[in-house]
Parts: sequence; structure tokens; C-alpha cells
Amino acid sequence: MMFDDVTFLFPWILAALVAVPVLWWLLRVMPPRAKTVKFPAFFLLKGLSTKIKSAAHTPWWLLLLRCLVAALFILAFAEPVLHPAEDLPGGSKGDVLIAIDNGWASAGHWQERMDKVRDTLQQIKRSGRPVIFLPTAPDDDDGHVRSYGPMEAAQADEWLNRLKPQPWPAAHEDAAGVAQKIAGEQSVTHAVFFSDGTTEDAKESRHLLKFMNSIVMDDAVNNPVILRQSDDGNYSLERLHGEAQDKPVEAIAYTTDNNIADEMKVNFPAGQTELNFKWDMLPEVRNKTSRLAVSDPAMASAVFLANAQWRQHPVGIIADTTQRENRNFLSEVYYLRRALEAGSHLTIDHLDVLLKMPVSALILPDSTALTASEKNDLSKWVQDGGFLIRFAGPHLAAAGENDPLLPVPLRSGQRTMEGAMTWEKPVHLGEISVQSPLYGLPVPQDTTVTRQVLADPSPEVFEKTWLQLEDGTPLMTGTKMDKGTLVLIHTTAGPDWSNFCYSGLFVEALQRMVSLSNGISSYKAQTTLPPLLLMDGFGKLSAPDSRTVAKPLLPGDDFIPSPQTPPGLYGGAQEFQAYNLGDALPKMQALKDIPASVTVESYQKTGEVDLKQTLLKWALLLLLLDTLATLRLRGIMVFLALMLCNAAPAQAALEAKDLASGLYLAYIETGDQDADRTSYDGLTGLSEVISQRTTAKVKGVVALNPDTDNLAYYPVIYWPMTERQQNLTMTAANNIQNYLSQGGIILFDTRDRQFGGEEGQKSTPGARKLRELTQSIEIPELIEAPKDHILTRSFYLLDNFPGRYDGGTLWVEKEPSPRHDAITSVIIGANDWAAAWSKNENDRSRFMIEPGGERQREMAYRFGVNLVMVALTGNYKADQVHTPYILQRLGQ
Amino acid sequence: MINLSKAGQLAGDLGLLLEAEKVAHSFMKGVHGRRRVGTGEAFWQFRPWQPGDARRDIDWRQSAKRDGARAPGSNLAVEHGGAFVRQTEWEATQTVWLYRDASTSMAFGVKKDYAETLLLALGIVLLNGGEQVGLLGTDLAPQTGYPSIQRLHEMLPAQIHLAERGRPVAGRSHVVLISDFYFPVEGLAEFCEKLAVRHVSGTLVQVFDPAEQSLPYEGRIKFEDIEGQDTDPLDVPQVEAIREEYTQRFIAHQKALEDMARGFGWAFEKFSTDVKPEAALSQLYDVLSVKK
Repeated sequence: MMFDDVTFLFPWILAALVAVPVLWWLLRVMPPRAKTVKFPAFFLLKGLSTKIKSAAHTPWWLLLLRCLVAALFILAFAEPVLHPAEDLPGGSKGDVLIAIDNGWASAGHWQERMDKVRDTLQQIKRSGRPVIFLPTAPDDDDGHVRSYGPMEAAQADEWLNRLKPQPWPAAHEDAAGVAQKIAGEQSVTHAVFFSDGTTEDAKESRHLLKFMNSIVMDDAVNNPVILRQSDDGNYSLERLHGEAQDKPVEAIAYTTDNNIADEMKVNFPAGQTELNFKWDMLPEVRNKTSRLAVSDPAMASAVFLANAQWRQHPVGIIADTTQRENRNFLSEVYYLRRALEAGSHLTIDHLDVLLKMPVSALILPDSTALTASEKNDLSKWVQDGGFLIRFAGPHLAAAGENDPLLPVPLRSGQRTMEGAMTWEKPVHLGEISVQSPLYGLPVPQDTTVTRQVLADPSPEVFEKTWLQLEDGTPLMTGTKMDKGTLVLIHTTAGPDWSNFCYSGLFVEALQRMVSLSNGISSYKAQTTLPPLLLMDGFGKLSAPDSRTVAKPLLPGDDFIPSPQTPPGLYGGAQEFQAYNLGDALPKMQALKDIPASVTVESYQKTGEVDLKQTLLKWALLLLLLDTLATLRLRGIMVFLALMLCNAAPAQAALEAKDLASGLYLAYIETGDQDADRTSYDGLTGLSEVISQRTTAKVKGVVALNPDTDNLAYYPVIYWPMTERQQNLTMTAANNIQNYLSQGGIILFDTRDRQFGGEEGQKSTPGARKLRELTQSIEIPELIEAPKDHILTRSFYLLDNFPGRYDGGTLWVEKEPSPRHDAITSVIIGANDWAAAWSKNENDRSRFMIEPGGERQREMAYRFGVNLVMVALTGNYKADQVHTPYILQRLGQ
Repeated sequence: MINLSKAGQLAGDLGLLLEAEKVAHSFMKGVHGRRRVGTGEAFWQFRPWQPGDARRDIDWRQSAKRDGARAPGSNLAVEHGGAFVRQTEWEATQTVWLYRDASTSMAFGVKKDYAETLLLALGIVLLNGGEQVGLLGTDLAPQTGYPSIQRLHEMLPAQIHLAERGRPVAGRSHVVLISDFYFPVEGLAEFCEKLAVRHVSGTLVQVFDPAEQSLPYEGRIKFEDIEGQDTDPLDVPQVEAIREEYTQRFIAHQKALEDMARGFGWAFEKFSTDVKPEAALSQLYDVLSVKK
């Protein structure tokens, strides 16, 4: 039997089970209380036989239920434990010392470690012994190894929840010192050490082990990983033990905002403890990357933080500052700005300003004229390692021969491929050669160049060509200039000479070039670097909190991970230095040579299951069942059910007379409680607005069932589409058809943001439902609401009809019947208006208005007001179409 | 505050009157043109003579006009289409005494409101018809003319017990008793007999709640006497089991009331409160107009 090994921690409580039969008897004797009714025709009842007495007793199943509840409670309080573990050695007296490794190596499989500690705590709890904790890593509060306790086991659970692995090494020597002190002060009868399997120094660890009775370690659980970057730019992984099987390792590159930039899968071969791998990232990806991490295990040593130089590539466009906001589509700067502003830090300014700033690349459009001295400065900047991208154009074509800042000598003048005096056609782009830095970028087929400047033919031109045209003439040439690079694009950055600026290649080529430029590393060597983002034991970065003891670092200091200098980023937001744990760690050492006096245990859980919670849960569940049953017996259920019914939107049954005497807004009940509530709240909200702002006074909101209700009282009906809605019955369809033909207006709302009018195509669920529901109704031909539709100006002047969503098309009747005042009887949209109209506090938070916020809500109200006004006044406002003409005529 | 609560009370009372007006009015609309032929003359209709009709009631001229007229009292069998009796709609000086039960048992459901609405509506219709209307058991003299309904309304709360106090009921007048009649028939019979011997005709109107008829409760219910006369509650373990027997008793009680009323030549009408008061009034009016 499965309960063979159940042990009760408090078996004496089981004695209370004897009381259960007594309870049975008591319950049998005491029948449930009767409901009292004061009855007028009492004299008629008098003398009627009350023979059937048995039902006055509690039904047997209720009795059984209650006894079961009692029994379960008794069992639960006896604290049964399934598969109980053996007790800890050391008897039931004295304290238990629990040392836990919480240095950097412990973060991997931290959870398993903690589970095992909790298991042990359960055993300690049973013997009622106090616990002393000794984390072996220095505390992040004061930087020392210290002990916690003695404390009760219940408290210990709480303390354990707060314990976390630290991103610095454990200090076993210090821990040994603390353990010695504890041994002197307290009566420790059992000491257990939860090790992470590593040691910084074998001798120190042996000191600590002297104070331990047992050690818990397990190769499967203790296998920390270190990720390092070697000097040649490759990466290496190190682990404590080689594993029996090949293990796939996933390394991920993250951007600053925690998106995945790149992924890399390597295979850790069986048995090996070290693995070198190469990770070729595209330069632009590399620029975005802020950290690399191994996906499993999550620990600080398996995270590599990138330095600031990796990704700082500020770009400057040499142009007038007025160009910053230029929206002129002919302007070169406009296209450059659009191409670069998303990917890089971009500045547009005069050359002298830009040269003073840390920029890694400069772009010189043809429209910017530079003086000779400026050209000199620029040339010097390039030679110092700058990256200059130049565009050709009329200016360069006119004065290009003796310009120093050119990668290739140019012929004077320009080549025109299209014009009155030429038969040539605009030329398409050619291929990008393998040696070009742009190799790999896709070449668009539809890009043509009409004018360009031509390079003076020479053998070296070919080598310097980065991109050429179909006919072999270079379009982009580049060359090294000392430490820097100089690139010329032989056409304009704007659309004057070619449509190159429209192509994707334009953007990609610019970004690729910028990423090729040297990064900026300009923090000054003498400044201190305050902690910017610090890593926790699991490798997560967070801003340092006020309690941290972390101190600023000096650049050039050796980095030793410790509470004072945890790994992380140090410096300012723009210029910072990464200090990686992996780089600072020596080769890992496994903890070996455990003294014979120390028993070795594994992290295997004991499999102890505490049944108390389960039993209590069941007992409470049954108790609830019992309450419900009792209520049912006393007839109170009916009352409860009524209360629940009342919780639904309260709708007093309104007499026809009332309905006819005032304005009521109505919606079709869909059967979906949520949607109906929203409809009700929405129309209520709209009613308030209408009553406040217009002379129309809305008396109330009515839910309609088209099958049974008379629709004739309502000028306009709101009909949201829900999945659960039943198809219309014949009566309902007839009612609706009648309503529409009598001049009623129905606003259908598919509530799904978009409603395609065409059959088949963009068929959204709401639209499908709408078609399904209105199958039996004759819907007149529809058109998109024209700009001057009456709905746009019956009260407010509107451009569109937003609800919770904005942008969905509104469909109205194409040729409304003159019998109805030429007012559309069917309006179909998808903007979920009721949700926007709702003033209910709950709904407000439930339905975020997208995208426009409160203004859009206001617009939604305005649409609602217009709608009701159309319904009430018909084409009254439409007549005013002629107002301008009338006024004009009067003037004459 | 007292004034305020009084005003509220007054408004509530007026509401009752208005309701009665509504009931009466909707009914009278239907009466017009159908019941009141001519210009308010007493003549209502001719009907064939029946045994028991007084000889002086026969309209000889009318009888002569029609075929097969036979003198009443002759040995020939009187066939249909013989002599005709001239009927008048009301006797001009008819006094109708109205009464509604105000005991605690009427507080169950809407019985009391229903009874009062019915009483006042009947009052309005009768006053409009030119009858004298009195409140049984009060000191109010029988009233005439529609505006007196106000006074009836005001005096209504003073009508507490069905006793022979207040204004004496003159002979040949009519009493209308509205109650649930949840007491043994014998006591009522005694009361009615005293009136009947003085040639007072009457109508018993039983108003009851649907729950009192069908006993719709389930499971174990402890019934208590709403009037508090019977202090022993009745513990019914399973109402379903006694429902049928109760319903039979209820019907038997109604039958007994009806039989008792018939015995005095009185009418008996029963209305469940879920019947619209308009319908009840219409039916009651029919009964009264035949009875007078």
C-alpha cells in the first residue's frame, strides 16, 4: 500500500479520531434548522399531518461529509509525512551548523542546492533543534564572512529565501575561522556543508572541513562554467568536470535593452573541461552587443560584458545646423539622417564643432562647402583614425581635380547618362566584389544612377572600388589614409543624381561603414570609475542600490572580484569599462580529498512529502461543499442565486409607456457577459456625455433581445459582435428587418480593429461573425463613410470615428432610402466603441485606449454624440451642406 | 422630520388613490357607451319574465309588442319570449357599503394594497355611477358624488374591525366585504346573517396571495401564524408532502365561503393578487350590477 511509510509527527493527535463517531451521533440528533414562514392561512395548515419525520434529520451524505472533514482536520494536525527521511545524526540536542557555499561557483543549479537545504531543514524541524547558517562567501552588506543564528527552523526557512549566491569567490579560510568561533560559543552537535564542489585553495577548504560532520556535493549539480574572451578575440568555456556526453551549449549575445542580437551554438565534447570557439559576428551586430551569456547555467562567471568601445560609434554629418530638422525631400542631409538616426548616435553640425566631439565617422555631403583650412583639419582627423564618407555632386564635379580628400583622382566634370544630348540610359548597380568591405549586402535591381563623377582610370582604382555600376565604373571608392579611412560615393546623397538614396543598400552601406569605423574610447585614464551596473550571482545586471559597499575603481587597477568590487560595468553612461568575473578567475579547482571523518552525501532529495497541506486543502474544500449543501437545504441558495443575478447590470423591467416617453439607448445582448457589461457601461457613459453636452436627455440604457423585445422604441441600437453569440431566430431577424425598414439605425461593431468589407479577403473573426449573424437580414449596399458624411458633422466636426481602436473603416449605407430622411440605417465599424465610452472605473483600466489615450476617448464620445444626433435629428444637419451657397447668394 | 415623514406617508397614500383612479378609470372607459344607454335614465333592458319576478315589474306594453305574451300566473307554461320585465340599471338610492380587512394576515404579500386599491376603485366607479358609498364600520355617512372619494380615502385607515360599530347599515343596501377570509366560515356566517335578515345583499371578495393557494415552499419549513393567535408553530418536515392536502383544504374553504354566500343570496368572488386589479374590478362590477 502506498501509505506504508507515512509517519505522523504528532501521533497523539490521532486520538481525537475517537471523537468522530460522537460527532456522527451529535449531527444525527441535531437536524438542520428549518426556515420559518409566517403564514396567513395558518388555520388551514393546522392539523395537517406532519407524519414524515425522517427528512428532518441531516441526510446521511451530509453526515458523512462532516465526519470526513473532521477526520481530515485531525489527520492534518497530526502532521503526516510520506516517505520520512531518517533523522539527522547528533540526536535531538544541540545546534545544527549549516555551511553553504554561496560564492560565484554556486549560482549554477542554485535551486537544487536550496531544495536540498530545505529538505534538511525539514528533518531539523522535527527534532526541534536550532540552526546556525554559515554562508561561505563574504556578505555583500559588510564584506565579511559571518554566521546567522542560532534560529528556529521556521525562521530558518525565511532566512533561506533571502540567501543568494554572490558574484565573488567563497572564502573558506574566513569561514573556517567563523566556524571555530561558533564551535567555541555554541553546542554544535551536527555540522553539514553544502558545497559547490570548487575550492579557491585546497588547504583553506580543508580547514573548514575540519569543523564539518558531513558534506553535500554532487558532480551533476556542481558544474560551474566560466566564459572568457581570449586576447585573439576568441572565446573559451571552462567547466569543472567533463561530462559523459557531448553537451550542446548555447551562447547568446544581448543588446543593451536585453534583446537577443545573435546566437551561437557550440558543442562541449564529452570528457573535456575546456572549449575554445570563435564567434564571428557581423560588425553591426557586434556594435549592438552589450553582453554575451551562456544560456545554461545562469551564473555571473558565464556572462561576458562588452566594453563601451564595442558599440560607441557616434556619427557626424557636416552640415549647417538648420539641416537638423530639414524635411526637404531633395536635401541630401535628410536622406543621410533618415539612414543613420535609427542605428547610431548622430550629430549634425559644423565641422569645427564636430571635430571637438568624439565621433568615429563623419559624412560630408556635396552641398556642404569647406574652406581649405577646414579641409586640412578634416584631412588630419582622418589620418588620426577617422572615417570620412564623402558624397559627390555638382560642387565636387566642378572643383574635383585638386581636392586632397579623395580616395581616387577624379576626372573633371560629370557623366550624364540621361538627358537631351545623350543616348545613354541610367545605369543599374553592379556587383560588390569580394574584397569590398560591403561584400554580402544585397544589391537592389531597381536602383539606377543618372549622373556620377568619374574616377581617372588607373590600375589602383579597381582595388579601391567598393561598389561599381553595371558598366564597371566605380560608384563607391575607398582607401586607407594613415590610420583612417576615406570613402567617396560617386553620386549624390540625395535624389538629384540617382535614386540610390531610396534603396535599402544606401542605408545598409552607411551603417556598415559606420560600424567599420574605430570605436571611441575616450575616458580619461586618471578618472575613477564609479559602479554603473553591477552583476548579481546569476549574472543579472542592476543599478547599485544604496546599501552596496561597492567602491569606484581606478582604470588600470587589477580587478579582483569581491564585495567591494563586484563584476559589472564601471564608469559613466557613455563611457564605461566592463569588469568580467570570468577574466578575473583562475582555473577552477575541484574540492577533493575529503577527510575520512566527513561523510559525503549527494544532492539527491530525500523525497519526503509533507501531507499536512494537502489534507488541509481537502478538508477546507469539503467544508465549503458542506456549507453550500447546508445553504441549499435551508433554501438560502435561492437567495444567493438572486444576489448573483442582481450583480448583472440591473435593468428594471421598463413599461412600454416609459420607453416611448423618453430617449433610451439600447444594445443587443450577446450572451457574452463581459461584452454585455461593457455595452451597458459604454452606453451609460455615452448617455451621461449626451445628457451633459446636448439638449437630448437620455433616460437609460436597455439590453435587447431581438427575439422578444420590441425594438421600435429605440432610435439607435448598438450591436457588438462576440464569438458566443447565437444565430438569429426567424422572429429576431424579422424584428430587426422591420426595425431597419422603419428607419431605425443599428451600429454594428466587430470590435476587432479592422473590418474588411470585401467578402473572403481580410476576414477577421468579428467580420465573420457579423456576416453569419446578418445572413437572414437584408443589409443594403455599403460604402466607406465619405469625408462629408453626416456622421462627421451632426454635432461635432470629426475626421474619423475612433473608439478603443482608431483607424478602422466605417461603412455606411450607399444609397439610404429617402423614406428614412436619407440617413443610413446600417453603420458597421470595428473600433470597439463601447469600451471607449465606458466610464466604469474597472473598464477604464481594462480597456486601454489605443493608441491615443484620453484624447481618443474624447473623440470616441464625440462620435457617439454625432451618432445619436443623427438618429434623433435625421438629415437636419445635412441640409447645411448648402449653407455656404446660401450665404454667398445673400452677399450678392 | 415629522412633517417630512408625514408627507411621505401622504404621498404613499395618495399613490394608492391614484392607483385606484387608474384602475377605475381604465375600467370606466370600457363601461361608457356600453352600459349607459340613453342619457342616464334608469332603464337598462328588457328581459324575459322569470318565475319570481314581481308582477308589477312586467312592462305590459313591451310584452304586448312581442309574440306569445302570456299573462303570468296563467296555467299555461311560460315560454321563452313571453312577458318582458323592465329592468333598471341601478336603483337610484342604492347604498353600497365597502369594507376591506385590515388584519395582520392581509400584510402578507401585497394583499392589503390590492384590497384597498380594489375598494377605492370600486368606490370611484360607484360614485361616478351616482351611488351612495359608505365605509362599513366607520362613522362616515354614505357619500355621493365623485369628489367624495377623497373622504373615503381619508377614512379608510379608520376601518379596522368587521363589527357592527359605526353607521348602521340600512335595509336593502349592499355590502362588499374584501378580505382573505382566513378564519372559520361560521363566524362570518353569523355576521352576514344579521345583515341578510334586513334584506341587505352582499358580495364577499376574497383576495389571496398565489403562495397561499399553491404553498410553493420546499423542504423543511416551520410555519407560524401571522396573526399570532396560534402560538404553536407548525413544523412541517417536508412541505411537498402536505401540499396536495393543503390545496384541497384551501379550495374547500373557498367552497364553504361561496356556499355560505349563496345561502344568503350573496355573491362570492375570489381574486389572486397576480390578477390585474382592472380585471378584478371589471368582474366585480359585473357581479354588482346584476346583484344590486
